[in-house]
Amino acid sequence: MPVTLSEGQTKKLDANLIPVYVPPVPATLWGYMTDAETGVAISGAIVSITGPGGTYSDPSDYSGRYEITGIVPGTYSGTVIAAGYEEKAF
Amino acid sequence: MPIVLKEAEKERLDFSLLSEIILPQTYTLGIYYFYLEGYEGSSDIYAWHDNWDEWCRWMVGYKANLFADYCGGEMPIEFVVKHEVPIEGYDFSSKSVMIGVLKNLEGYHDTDFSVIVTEDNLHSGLRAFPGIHSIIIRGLKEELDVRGLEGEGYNISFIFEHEIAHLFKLDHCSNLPCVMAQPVLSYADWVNQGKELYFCDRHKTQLLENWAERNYY
Repeated sequence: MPVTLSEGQTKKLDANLIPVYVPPVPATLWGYMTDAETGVAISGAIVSITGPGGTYSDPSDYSGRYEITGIVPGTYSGTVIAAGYEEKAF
Repeated sequence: MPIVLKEAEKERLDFSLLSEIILPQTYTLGIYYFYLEGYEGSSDIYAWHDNWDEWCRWMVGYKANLFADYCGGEMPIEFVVKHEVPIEGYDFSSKSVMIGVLKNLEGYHDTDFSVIVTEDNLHSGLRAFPGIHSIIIRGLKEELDVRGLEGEGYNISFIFEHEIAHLFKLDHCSNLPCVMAQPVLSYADWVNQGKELYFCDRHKTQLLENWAERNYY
């Protein structure tokens, strides 16, 4: 509602503001999976990370590339599993 | 070490994985040819009973070798026996009846898996039975047709692999053309392209882990 100010008047007007939630811009984790000995790309290796946003996972494609998008920023720990390879934790 | 992801950040993290030393595994098979008098030779599709032993060994052996090669190991056939099923009261649509028959067969507990080959055309006969390490394959002659021979049995070409994989605790899959997808009819095009035995990434990982760890029903 508009406020009317008369000549010479001092008027107090307080306001209670409701904070607007601005979600954090999500982060992305990506990279490549390779065989430690041969350097050959590994497809089907699954990266899983767990942290403040929950658990995210993605398998690597034929080129060994994986990409996890839409991650809530924060600190994450995770694992990498692939058939025929030792599991890796980070 | 945990990774810290900041807002709007695109972080690259590569992994070099070390090969796991996997010892080849051997899973033994016992084959039971369930013979039903009167059903034999009822059509061209099922008329291969005269040399049932040879066909069972060859067909199951072929599929078992494919599967074992994929997983790393062997699936030798320990024996093939003919089990004559009384035609009276015969009903394989009843799981309890089938289980009762199986458990009383000689040698049933001597192998890792049992494969039951039937000649009849009961549509309920394609099953894996968790807990009793057995699968049943209906009309294996139909599988024979898949392999470039005449016939229309291509739609069950992955039955053996599908059912054996169930015994390694794999569930069904919605990711075609994974062997664990349903219905198995979906493999027709895949087979016709000359491609065989494909598991999706999730099931491949689970299968190879369970195979290596001998984790099966």
